[in-house]
Amino acid sequence: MTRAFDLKDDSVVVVIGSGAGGGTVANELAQRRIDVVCLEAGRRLSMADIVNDPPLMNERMGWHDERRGVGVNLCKTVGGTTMRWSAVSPRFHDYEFRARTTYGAIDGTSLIDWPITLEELEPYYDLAEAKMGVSGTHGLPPSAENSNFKVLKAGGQRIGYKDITSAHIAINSAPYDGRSRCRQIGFCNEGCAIGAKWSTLYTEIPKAEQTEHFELRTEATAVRINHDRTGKVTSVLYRTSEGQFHEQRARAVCVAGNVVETTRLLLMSESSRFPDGLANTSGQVGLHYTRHMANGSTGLMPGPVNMYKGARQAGFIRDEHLHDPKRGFAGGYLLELSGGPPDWVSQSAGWGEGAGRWMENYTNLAQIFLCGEDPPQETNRIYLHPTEKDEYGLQVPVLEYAHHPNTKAMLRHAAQQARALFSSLGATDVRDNSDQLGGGCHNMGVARMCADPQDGVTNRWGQTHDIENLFVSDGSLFSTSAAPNPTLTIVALAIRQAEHIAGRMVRREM
Amino acid sequence: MTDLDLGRRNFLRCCTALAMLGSIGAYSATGELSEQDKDALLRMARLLYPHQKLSDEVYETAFQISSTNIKDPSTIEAFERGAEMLDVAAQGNWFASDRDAQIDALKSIEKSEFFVTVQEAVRTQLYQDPVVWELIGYPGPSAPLGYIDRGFDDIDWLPED
Repeated sequence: MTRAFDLKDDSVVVVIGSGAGGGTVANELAQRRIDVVCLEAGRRLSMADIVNDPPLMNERMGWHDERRGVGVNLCKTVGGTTMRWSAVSPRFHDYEFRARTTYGAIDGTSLIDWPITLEELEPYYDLAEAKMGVSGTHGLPPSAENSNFKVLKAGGQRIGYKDITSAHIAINSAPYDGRSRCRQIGFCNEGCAIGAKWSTLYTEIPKAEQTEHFELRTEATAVRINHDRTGKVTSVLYRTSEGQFHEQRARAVCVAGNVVETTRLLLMSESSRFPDGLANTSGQVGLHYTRHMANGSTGLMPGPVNMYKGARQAGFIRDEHLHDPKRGFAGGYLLELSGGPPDWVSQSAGWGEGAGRWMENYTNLAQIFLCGEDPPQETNRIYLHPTEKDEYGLQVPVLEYAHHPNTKAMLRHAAQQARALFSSLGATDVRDNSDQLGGGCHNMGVARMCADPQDGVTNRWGQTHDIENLFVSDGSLFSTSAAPNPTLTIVALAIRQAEHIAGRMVRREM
Repeated sequence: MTDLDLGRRNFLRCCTALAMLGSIGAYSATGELSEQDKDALLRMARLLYPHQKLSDEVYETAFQISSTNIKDPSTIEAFERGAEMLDVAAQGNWFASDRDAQIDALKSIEKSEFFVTVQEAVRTQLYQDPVVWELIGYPGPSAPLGYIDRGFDDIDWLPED
């Protein structure tokens, strides 16, 4: 029962993006009987379109528009990057919400504390885990331990780790919410072919459509947010796949373009009132862009592992997820299970005789993904290229990013630990992925939440400090990156934000 | 999304690899890659990821250097310049050098755009090839059955402690 709203209907909330942030905030608003128009730049795949073919799926759902600078790995499709994510869903720790207080001043960083605490977010973490069917929570069993996980666990125990779990994965460990349990297919990042992994494509979006308060417009690329003389946003201009432009009136706007497009849209929406970009009187839009300490380590084990059999990242070790300056860096990291097809693993192979031999032993390889906190720096930023335009005539985004020495120190420590873990089980040849500067899968910052409006762009609800009816609803909100994979926290913040927006609307404050 | 059939997909893959190479060259004068240059590039692909049991054809496919694939003048020019670079690095005829000298020469240019581009193209194409999968024991797609009833947790060599 999907609704169709009039372009002139100014009672709707326009949500830009349909991924973890946008899809969630849209559904949560619709469930509260608030009318929503969701604009998604990509197409809507059917389950039949989701196949075990990584290059084909990258064509179908990857974001391929021109960008400059460091690479990112995002999706342009209904469901956004929840189609590609591995579903690792750890919560942040308390200390990570107080990064500046906990770590102190670190040269070259722009650390702040979050304007919210873990205690405030905990109820929303609960709601997010229930929504997403996170394994080991809400009565769901932990995820099944595949052979690759058993290597991680056995090696972890041998080097003294205690906190090793296959829980906290947003893939159904049992039938849940009308979706099947995981069948250990192994192509999690190509969109889950049976819908066992949480993705907004087959959870939030159809649920929202059932409310009759929601309309999804696909292949609708937002290009500008307009405001009135009082400084409130009033409409969103978007381009259709046929190249036509439409303007949807709005009561409020939520932007969830996975950091890069969120930045671009705010900056492209400059006006005489906001000459440096919408909601950018602080000059902070696009700054403090973080990506995580992220790296892979792959061990050639003494027996078969067959890492392709099963969920790719169903488990992790939490012993290093703490702040312990004795290790030589601030913040912590997780050692997560990782696996994938040969072309994925070959990234770590290097080249030459050894690389060929290593790849011929593909069935004996085990892999770890290392994911840790990356402190914000003002010099890591996203901005519009001054002259270059893409094929649609829009300014090309530029991503400037370099690791802070703290991140480099953490990378070294994490690589050593992963090597020790594999070696403890008799691995003969351990290879690190050459550091891809965080890989570009986890993107955070650029419109960060902050108590002092000079430090960022948004307040504790994700509302922009400048504009009372303009919200940011994706990972752009993160005041700091913390160590965990970002999606669970994006969803928790989006649920909390929807509750806040609905409350203000009911009280006629917006 | 029925318009994305297998043919188009292969076409796109091919174009991606060629475009990557084409972007680092200017226009070729001759319009055709010489047999010597092809031999040199094929040898380079084999040295990057040596697998004795694979035929030259597999590497040619990965490298996109079979004559039917190379038409783009800028790609040919990039290949020609790369082959020249190999000779310069080998201080003579790279292809005629012994294996160790060939590897040393490759090492000396491994940071160059030519090397990195070729390595990336060969690596991704090679390890996405079902012929290579068979060699290394990877069975490819598994949906919808998956491995839940087919040994996803059957590791048997881990120590008991």
